[in-house]
Amino acid sequence: MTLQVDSHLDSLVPPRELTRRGFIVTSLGAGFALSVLPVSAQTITTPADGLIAGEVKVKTKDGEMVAYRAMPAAGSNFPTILVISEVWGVHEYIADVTRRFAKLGYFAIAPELFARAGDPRKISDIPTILKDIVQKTPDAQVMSDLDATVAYAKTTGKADTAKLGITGFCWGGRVTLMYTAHNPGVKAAVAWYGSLRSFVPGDKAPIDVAAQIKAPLLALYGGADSGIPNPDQEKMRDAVKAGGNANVEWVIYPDTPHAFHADYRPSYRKEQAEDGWKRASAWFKKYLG
Amino acid sequence: MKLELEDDVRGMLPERSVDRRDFLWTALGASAALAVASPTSAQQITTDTSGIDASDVSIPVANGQLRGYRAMPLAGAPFPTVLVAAEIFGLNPYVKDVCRRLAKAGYYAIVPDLYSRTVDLTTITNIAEIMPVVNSKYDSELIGDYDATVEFARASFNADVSRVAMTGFCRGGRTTLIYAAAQPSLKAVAAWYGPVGGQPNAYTPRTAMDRAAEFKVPVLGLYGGKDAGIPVEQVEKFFAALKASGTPSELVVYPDAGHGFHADFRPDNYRKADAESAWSRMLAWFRKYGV
Repeated sequence: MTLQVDSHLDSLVPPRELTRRGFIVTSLGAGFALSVLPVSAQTITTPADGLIAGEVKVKTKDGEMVAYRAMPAAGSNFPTILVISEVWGVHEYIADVTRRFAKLGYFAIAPELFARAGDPRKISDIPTILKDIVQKTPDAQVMSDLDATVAYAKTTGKADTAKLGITGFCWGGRVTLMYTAHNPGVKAAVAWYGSLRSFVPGDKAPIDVAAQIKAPLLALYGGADSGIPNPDQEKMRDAVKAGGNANVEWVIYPDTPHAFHADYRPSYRKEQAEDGWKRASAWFKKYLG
Repeated sequence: MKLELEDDVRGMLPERSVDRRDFLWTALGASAALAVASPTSAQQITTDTSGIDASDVSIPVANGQLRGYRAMPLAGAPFPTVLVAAEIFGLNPYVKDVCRRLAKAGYYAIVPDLYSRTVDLTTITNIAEIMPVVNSKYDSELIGDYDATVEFARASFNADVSRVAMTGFCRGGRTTLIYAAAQPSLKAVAAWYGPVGGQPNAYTPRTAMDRAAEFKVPVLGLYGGKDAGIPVEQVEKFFAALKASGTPSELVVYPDAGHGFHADFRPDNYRKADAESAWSRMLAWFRKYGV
């Protein structure tokens, strides 16, 4: 297959062999990841009425990758938003967020980027997920898969990929930063408490690509994130701005933990999550339409 | 004003000043002050941050926040966890350096400042002002603080808290023993010249010796044979009690070392060869028990 990206983008990806062991996860199923059960009572459920929502298959360099896609039932030419999961992959929360964007008029798609490594939704503890799944999903592969996801969106005839946005949470917040640096076609990015470290030895940290983040960036972080100290957040913010990006809005909510938008977990902070969502919606509205 | 001279503090003092109280506080005060600056002696080890990620952190605890410091390798999380317990000088460059050394060995290492609810010990240069602070820490609160530190590490996604070890120096050696007795889910601990006895009071109602039968965690003891405050016989008795209770333990006494022989920022205490040998033993001890 041919990827719908300019050849000069390939040079941004370190030459690394993609894994050839194929896709372990071929279907998303339903429900939340095992390691986050039980979910909290305040979990938001967005119905799919008025939407076309469900699983699709995205052609990648080495096989088909499953993704969850949602868009309005009527119309076409929707601006596109890539939704990147936390370490639990595309489970119910991510599918719900994808529907929330569809309700706002977007073609929103969440690819299962861990599909080659395994199914994080079926693993009960986080250290094992990190070791067996996340550490086996290097950036080069993720960037390539996201390029393929954009190419797929274009082929549907429903998505306007010239208006491309990306958002993600936790692990996906980091991917949001990395992909925005990788693909100059991204027009708006919203990173929710993205890790500022690399998960895979040898991969760059977001700070290393900060100067390449040229698209308008909204970053939403917790001031009491135990994994992402405030000085690191501020350093990253300053580095993106120093790279010449004039459209950076970096919000640090005081006394707020990691994953404050995850309404299905105790880390949820309603007020901050709603404020963040309002800002994210406005950001995409402003830069994607 | 009567100042109690605790076992661990007495051991730090230069022998010549033991019976001259005024000079004694001044001498130790100078040590504490030196602990703030870096580097303070030609021997002080400074570990750089290449290949690791080191940062000040703020750790939520039962009634507020504790200042803390943590270090870990740049990539490859989650890492096995090492809790670190500081001496009476707070989050000084030395204990931060210890965290970085552990990070270079592959660990997520974290040290909370147990006293930071009230004061930053590194800003106090007079030992007479430090002692009332560190002597009015409830063991029960200390145990809760370390539980909260483990929770902080867990929530960071960077630490594997199914594999947690602990180490501490001087008063932190005692902290290590007290927490190990209370928290059986630790996999291994290494206590550096921490007092095992002492006078019980409201803050520290039971000594490590009193708790010996409750230990489930393998304990490595690293002590100096010439510690002026902690008699070897007392330490041997404690380890015999651990052995009797069935806890795997090992006591290493460096015959010519005094108290604080790992403290490279106090030239009077530091003994390079013993410090290096003990450090290797500690890492081997952690590895032996899966951390």
